[in-house]
Amino acid sequence: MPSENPTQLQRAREWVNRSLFNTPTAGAYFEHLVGGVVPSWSLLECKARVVEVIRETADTQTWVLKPSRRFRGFAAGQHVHVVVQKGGVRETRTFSLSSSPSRWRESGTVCITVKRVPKGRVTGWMHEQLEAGDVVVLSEAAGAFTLGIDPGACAYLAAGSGITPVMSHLRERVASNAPGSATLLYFANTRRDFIFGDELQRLRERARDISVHFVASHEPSPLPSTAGSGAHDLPQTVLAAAHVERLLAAAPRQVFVCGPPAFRHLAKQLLGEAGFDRARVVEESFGLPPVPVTEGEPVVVTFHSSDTTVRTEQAGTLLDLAEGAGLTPRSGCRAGICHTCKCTKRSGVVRNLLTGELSGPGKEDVQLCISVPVTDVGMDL
Amino acid sequence: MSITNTPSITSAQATHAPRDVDPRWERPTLNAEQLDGLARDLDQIRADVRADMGEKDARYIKRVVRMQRALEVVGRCLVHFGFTPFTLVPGVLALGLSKILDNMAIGHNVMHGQYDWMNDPTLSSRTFDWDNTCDRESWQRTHNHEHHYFTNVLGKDRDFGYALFRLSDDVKWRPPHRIQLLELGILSAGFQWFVALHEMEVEKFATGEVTLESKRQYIRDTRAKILRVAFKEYLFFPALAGPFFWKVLLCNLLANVIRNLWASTVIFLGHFPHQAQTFTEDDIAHESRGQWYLRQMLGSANIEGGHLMHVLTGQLSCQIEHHLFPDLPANRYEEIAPKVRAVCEKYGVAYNTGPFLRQYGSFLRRLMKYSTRPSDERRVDPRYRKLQEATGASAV
Repeated sequence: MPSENPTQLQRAREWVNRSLFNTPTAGAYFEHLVGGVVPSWSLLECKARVVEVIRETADTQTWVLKPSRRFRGFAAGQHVHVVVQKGGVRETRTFSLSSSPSRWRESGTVCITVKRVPKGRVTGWMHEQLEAGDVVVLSEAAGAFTLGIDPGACAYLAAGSGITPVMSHLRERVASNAPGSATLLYFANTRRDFIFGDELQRLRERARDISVHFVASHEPSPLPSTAGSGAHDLPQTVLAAAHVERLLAAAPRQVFVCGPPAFRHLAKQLLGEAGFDRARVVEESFGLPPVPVTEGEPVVVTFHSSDTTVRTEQAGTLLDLAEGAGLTPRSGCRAGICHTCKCTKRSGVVRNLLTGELSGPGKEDVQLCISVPVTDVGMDL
Repeated sequence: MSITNTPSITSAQATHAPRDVDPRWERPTLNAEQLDGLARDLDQIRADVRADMGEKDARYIKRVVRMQRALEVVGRCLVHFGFTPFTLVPGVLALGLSKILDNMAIGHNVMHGQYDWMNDPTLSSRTFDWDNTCDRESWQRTHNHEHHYFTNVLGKDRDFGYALFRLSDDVKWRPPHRIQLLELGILSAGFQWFVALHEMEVEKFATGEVTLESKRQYIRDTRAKILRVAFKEYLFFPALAGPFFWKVLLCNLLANVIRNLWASTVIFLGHFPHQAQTFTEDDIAHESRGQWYLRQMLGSANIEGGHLMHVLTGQLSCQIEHHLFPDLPANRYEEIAPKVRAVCEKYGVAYNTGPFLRQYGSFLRRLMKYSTRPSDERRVDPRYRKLQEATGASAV
């Protein structure tokens, strides 16, 4: 990728590359040739081979990946963008790495653990088709859901597949004999839905500094409290003040929250009410909050370069509107992270779904996948 | 530009064939209902392909890209290290072939957005650049928009005759038209350069319709692109060979000419054989989707041939299918051709096709026919005829 302010030398090099190869870099020219010889080779990206697929629960699987030497490592709790080739289409999704950095350093493998999203285009395909021997592309790891230098006592609130970055933390704690204690409250619908249930159970029994509490919020038939369930001491309901009280009993320095938007919102609210400093809450989020219903005023979105106009009552994201109109804008993660879909807006106001902020009315670059038109909008697309 | 009174194809009444068209290729008479049916049938073909698009198409385009890269590497090595005709000739051929694949099977099709759905930045119409002197954005303006939207509309589609050839009576005869066969040779051999300069619209400078100022951005982009190509073909790779500078330069030049001859020939055969009809701006006023489809079919001609022929033309041998569905993956044209042909038969529309040599002969005959001075009134430019009638002058 060319930097913002290329030096004279970088510019000259790109000019020569463009002259000789008609691509920004020589690597881009040879990419398909190299990928054709060995699918896991690449001159542009970090490819990773699927080593093993492990079934965790009925709707969750773990893929063990062996990334190429381009992979620069990660900190526990970080996420990667994973590009899969689904029916010839490059689809990008973002997943937390559920394995520990220690494991990567020792065996060169990393894990992603993915719950099948109902009607999900990509996760459904991954569960059915992505097998050992297949090749995916990994981005560099990113994210601030990390332990930091001196974690001290940490507390975790995880719900559903929100356990994945937390698992990376716990595994790293065990592998590196990290000081300080960790308390985890793990929420799932039923007892069968606890991802890594067995491993967490073992941690809870063996690791001195790690305490694990399972909460099955919607278990249809509450089971008798047995020693193994870990459910005997906490109400088996959705997140409530009693849970937070237990969590804060260990006087954590930080609380890590990972789960669906509603869960995180509730968690932050309860932590605030319990008097915990909001600045010490770290959260990880992939799912977007639902699109706020606009005031019902229809808006007109004009895609100038393709001479297409869309009039809509219920404005979705610009990306959805463009694709609904038959356009094929470049897109990546569809979650406002990778900036692949960035495009120039000529006019109109859009709301950024991630920040909730309104844009200015003039010309500026916006990310299609997280921009919802608030007024009539003109796009260079 | 044209003010002929050719009846619009919208008309449900009987129309007569345009003057320059073989009576066999009369313009069909379709009523509004039939035109809607035609549009529906063709839309269905398109929808079927789109629903089935995927892995297979991605594999095809990647395979062609790999083949092109391999040919270029092999070609340049043979040209660089070779000293006898046994190595230089295959080297030039491989290099020429790689340019043909790059321009026709990859560049042309990718820049149409045919593979944008793959979401692959190396095969995106937004960024792909080709091994040609024509600037990619200039190409997208003149080809994707002008030529594909205004196909064969005289005065609008500047690809029809390239503002150079006289291929129908709609263009007033001038003495230079006598040598249009010679012009064909020059245009063909240097095709890449003429395509690069196409958007300059030099013929419009005289009238002041176009000025240097209005073309500033285009000139800047094109100059940059030409410099890059010249650097690669005629400086960098020749200089790499040191004392054998001229050998490499000559081989590169030949490879470029090979590509130019083939590309231009395929493109001429797509729109200039006898059967390909022309249209006026009146014809396309208030054009419906069915009429647009019909014009694309009447204005284009296919070349019959095997799979290799289709790949080497970037499926432009299926020019009709390409013009109906310019952004469907080109590798699908061959398979939908029989369906399109069936639709043509259903509505009594001519499906213009023929083997390579026959189509080439047809084009040459048309070129020759309109290179001579029209000798009878029937062929005189209608504007000229009106002038004659008004002034009471007798026919030439």
